[in-house]
Amino acid sequence: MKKFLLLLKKELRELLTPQMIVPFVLIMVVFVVIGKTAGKQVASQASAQDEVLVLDHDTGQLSKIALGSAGQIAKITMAKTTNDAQFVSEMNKRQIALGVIIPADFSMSALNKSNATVKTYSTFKDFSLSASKKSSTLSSVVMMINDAVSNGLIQLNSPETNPIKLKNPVLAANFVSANGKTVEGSSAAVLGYISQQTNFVPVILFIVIVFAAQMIATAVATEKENKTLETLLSLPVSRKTIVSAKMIAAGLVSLLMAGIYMHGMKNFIGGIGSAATGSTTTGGNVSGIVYSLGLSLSATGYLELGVILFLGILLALAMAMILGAFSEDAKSAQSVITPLMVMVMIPYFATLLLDINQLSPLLRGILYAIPFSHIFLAAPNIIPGNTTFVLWGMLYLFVMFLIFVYVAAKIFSSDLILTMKLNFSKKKS
Amino acid sequence: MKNILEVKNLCKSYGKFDAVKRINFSVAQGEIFALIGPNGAGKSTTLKMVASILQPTDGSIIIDGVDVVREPEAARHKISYLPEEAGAYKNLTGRGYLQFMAGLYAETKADEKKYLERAIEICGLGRRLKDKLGAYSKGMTRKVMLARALMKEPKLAILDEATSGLDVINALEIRDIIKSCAKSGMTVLVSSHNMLEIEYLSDRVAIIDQGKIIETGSIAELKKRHQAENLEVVFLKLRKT
Repeated sequence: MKKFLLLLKKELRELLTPQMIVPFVLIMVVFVVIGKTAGKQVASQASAQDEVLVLDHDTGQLSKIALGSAGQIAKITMAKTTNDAQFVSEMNKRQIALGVIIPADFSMSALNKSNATVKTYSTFKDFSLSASKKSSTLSSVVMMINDAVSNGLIQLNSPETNPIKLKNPVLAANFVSANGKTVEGSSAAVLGYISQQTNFVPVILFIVIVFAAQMIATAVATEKENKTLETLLSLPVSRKTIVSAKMIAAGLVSLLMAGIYMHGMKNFIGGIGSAATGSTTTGGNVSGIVYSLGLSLSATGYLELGVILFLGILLALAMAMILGAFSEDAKSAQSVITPLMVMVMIPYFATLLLDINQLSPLLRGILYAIPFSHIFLAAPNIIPGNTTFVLWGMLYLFVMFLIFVYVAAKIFSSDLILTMKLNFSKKKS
Repeated sequence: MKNILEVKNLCKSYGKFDAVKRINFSVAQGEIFALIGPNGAGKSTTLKMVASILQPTDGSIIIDGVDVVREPEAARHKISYLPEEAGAYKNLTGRGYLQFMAGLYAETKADEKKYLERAIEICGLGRRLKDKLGAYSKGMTRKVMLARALMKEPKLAILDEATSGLDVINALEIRDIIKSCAKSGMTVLVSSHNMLEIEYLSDRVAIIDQGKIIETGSIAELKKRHQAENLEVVFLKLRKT
């Protein structure tokens, strides 16, 4: 045990060098800062209404109703100019990004049951995610104007009619059902919320597995390159101890990196996500629905996810250790783990882009045969409570880990560790 | 005197290439035995097999009664091995490296302390041991590596090209260290392509060429047998025949 701990400490010291930690932590800090800044910006924009400059040529009753309605969702500022040609200049001068011109025949056209055309203007100052949210304000303003004018016309022609009931004779009460529970709410909102909360999980899994594989393969290759491996192998320490110290050190560093990544990416994606959707105001309601339906990751769910990720990392480490044994130096270690990267990338993109249940049985079978698929499929199965699938995945990963760690130990116990090599350089003529 | 190392019919093949072809030799306790020969003769391969890091294709290696092929882990408790191009963990200080190695060799805290003190004495680097190995010259690194190999006073020290690439002063110091260890009863198996160095260092030699031992004996015996003034001439005469 003493020798194992000594080796583990040595491996951790070799892996956790300032050259590796500093850039990694800096990148994560940048992610957190960007995420938090974007989130704050959206929150402040959500509480403040967008300003819309309006040039009203009509000034009739209907246009007043329309503007009153639009004022519910935007800050309406009346233009000083009366000339359409100077309207955009005034928008720029007053730094108002959105504008609406109501034509002189607006009320008349509406009353004559023909379409009135309002002109909308957007000026682009930037192309950020929050700018795209701002642009949707104009569509909402036009929708509100339409709604208000149509209500006005209905009441004008039939004062006793309730325009809202007339326009919406059928109302929908939406319910979402999952895990045997039914709660009132919109399925689109629930799906959007879950997607926003979990879409960073596969990214993290992918990064961590690839990172772990690269680390262990590089660690083995570096021992060869630095000519320390032969000394290490001649010491009175069992090869199993050497292999396990290397694997556990790389596993621990990977999990540490996973934690930092998870924190950084959650902040980043959370901030960017809310900037893209402007969902900060509604997130609270939807999260309540998601929680009521049991669709959020519980403590057990996080544990299951952690266990399957840990097994996945162990398997990746065992496979990468075998592949690393083929490399002669740290540089070639990056090349030899390509087959492992492919095995991680296929399920990563498949689960990200495809509906697995819609695949043909053959393709689904191939995907399930790739051990790393079960890591990416874990979260979508844990959330709806499909624990059996997750447990089978764990078992499969564990069995594959045992097989590969056995092979790795065999390689380290033989002289294959010194003699196996893949030469990527061109043969000299 | 009791034999510490007995090598019988030792073979190593890589595919169709036979690197070592049925070699036999034995080394007595306290003896410095050298394998000499040109580059690619099979010296390092033989030493690696004795050090249990390469598996022989055939033959046996017995170190102090332990079969290296059958019980490699037990054999590793009796040896220390200095590879030809032994590298160091550059992030460690010289002292940190020796302490780490002492921890791996020793079974008790007392032994660990003893090994470390001995290694510090052998390498003679004084305050430079506080510096990182990455900042060491080749000679300093080699001294630390040698100190690592000799710190636990193994039954058999296996030193592959111990002075390879070193200047005259460093090479001389290292030779003196090896000689003094042998005087205190340690058995040493060395390899070198520098035959004059071996003449100064070893008690007996085996001349190896193309994977075969072509001559064995003490320096004096070989010189007399082949009427040569030094080992290089002995080797050249043997090659001609």
